[in-house]
Amino acid sequence: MFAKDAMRTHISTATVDEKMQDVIQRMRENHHRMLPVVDHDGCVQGIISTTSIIHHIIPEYILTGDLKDIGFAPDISFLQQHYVTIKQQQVSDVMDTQPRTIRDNKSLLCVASELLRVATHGYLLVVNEKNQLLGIVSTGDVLNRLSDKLEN
Amino acid sequence: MHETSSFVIFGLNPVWVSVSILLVVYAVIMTEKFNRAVLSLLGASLMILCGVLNQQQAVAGIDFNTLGLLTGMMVIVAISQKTGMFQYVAIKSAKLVKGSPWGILVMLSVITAIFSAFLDNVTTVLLIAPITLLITDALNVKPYPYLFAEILASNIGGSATLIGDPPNIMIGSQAGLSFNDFLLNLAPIIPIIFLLTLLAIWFMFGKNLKASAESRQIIMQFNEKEAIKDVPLLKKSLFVLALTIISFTAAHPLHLEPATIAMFGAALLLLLQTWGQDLEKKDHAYEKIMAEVEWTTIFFFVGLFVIVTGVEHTGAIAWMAEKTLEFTEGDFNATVLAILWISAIASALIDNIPFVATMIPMIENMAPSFGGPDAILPLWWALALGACLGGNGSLIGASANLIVAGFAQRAGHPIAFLTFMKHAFVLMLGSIAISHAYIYFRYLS
Repeated sequence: MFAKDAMRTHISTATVDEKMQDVIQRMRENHHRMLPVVDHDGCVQGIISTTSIIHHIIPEYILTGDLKDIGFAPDISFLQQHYVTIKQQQVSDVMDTQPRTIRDNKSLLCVASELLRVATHGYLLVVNEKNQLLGIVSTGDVLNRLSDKLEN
Repeated sequence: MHETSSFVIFGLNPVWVSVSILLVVYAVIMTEKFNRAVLSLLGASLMILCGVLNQQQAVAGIDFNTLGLLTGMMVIVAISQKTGMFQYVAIKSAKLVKGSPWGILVMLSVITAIFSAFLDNVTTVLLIAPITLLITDALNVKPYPYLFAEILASNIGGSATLIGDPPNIMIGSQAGLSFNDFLLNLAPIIPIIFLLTLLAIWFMFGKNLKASAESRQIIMQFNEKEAIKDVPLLKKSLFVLALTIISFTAAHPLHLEPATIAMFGAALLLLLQTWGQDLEKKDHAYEKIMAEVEWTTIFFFVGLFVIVTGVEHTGAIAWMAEKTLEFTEGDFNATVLAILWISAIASALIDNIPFVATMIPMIENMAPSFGGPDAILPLWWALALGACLGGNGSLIGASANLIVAGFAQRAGHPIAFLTFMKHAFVLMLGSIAISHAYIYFRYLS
């Protein structure tokens, strides 16, 4: 059993040069929390997620400085301002450029352990040797494969 | 020339070997391509490997009083900063001036100066820079004037006390000057320098600072009470901080070194911090705090002390002292003022810690010509004021400056090297001119 047998292949993607405005709209309409970002050859360049968008709205000094516990602050207008700015940007400006990927020929054991080790959101992008996107595998998909095997 | 020097590798002249090591290490530190602790330890090892010093002499050259004071204060600060008292004070003060942009700049600068005088500058700006960016974002004003003022305030405040700035720690420790000596001799001039600097900043930026009534209202909505996370720990930290600082002032009559007091304070706070928890939790907390001590800085000092001891051992520093005296024709006043200005310019351009480490033995070597250790006190004050205030001359003049610049960069408001220097260098020269007058009228006339 390999990663390519466990993955889902019906997935929507975003391309690097798309406008964030369109991507956000698509994510909201289809209730996607995450889209893989590919270039025009289908190679994985990053992911865009609700988390990566929020990450760009929050100023970095809050995340890196000593303000992690920011319970004392009220809403500040920069949230809305940054959101407006981000909508005008390209996907490549906002995406997380270190997506969690795994090769299609890796074992299910490897997929399961990588999911726990590196994939904080519970999924991995499955790619071929050229880094082209083939599908997505999640913790749920691993469990489904294991159940399928028992039932057969 | 000393006896052991005859074992130097390949029979080379020990003076040239030691001076070359020192110059190469300092030069490579200036390129900022390598970690300075690694370079100084490498230089220190070379001093021994090349035969300038043996290991025993090298270890004897390390000033453990400086290291103990630094480490102890770092532990105390690492624990205290978790209480949120810093954010509390910053927000409280911003609300006290009703969100006025210039009022906030003054308040944040005063807080930075006071905290820098009693804690280390780097920690102070590490805590003040993020909250400043948050406040300026809320006010919708440019953060540069604020960060600029805080950099200057941190170096000026740090000059005031023995524990405020690493150069002062080194000078105090090696010249045998007490906390009170610094308080009586340096602290009086610091408020004047600080106020005049603020006045200059008002003319440069302050009069143009404006914020809308709505943004000032946002400042008033900050809730400083939420910043205090752990009230019992806050009480313990304030108790130990107060105890430590009071003990510093009483140290000299009791024949105690500052390192003893800092280490006692650190151990006491470590003990109180986890009082009543089980051992496993305690161990975990200790390890976390110990990891926050800046060990790279400590090892940088270790290496530096060995390098300078090596150069001193070969007689090169005594020679430099002699040449300096020849240059000033043995005139005491000229020597004091030359050290003030040279230290200021040098500290603006290079790391002031290695500079001061080299100057200390040089000044010690001058003592006999001027009539002993008591007679040369003004030389120490000139070195301290020059080296600490000189750090304001450029963005690379002090570690605190670089930390603030790093935050500004990440917040999307980078501070340009030359822009900073254009504003800061003149103010630095002004502060040195004030120090010049102060030293002249108090000690030399």
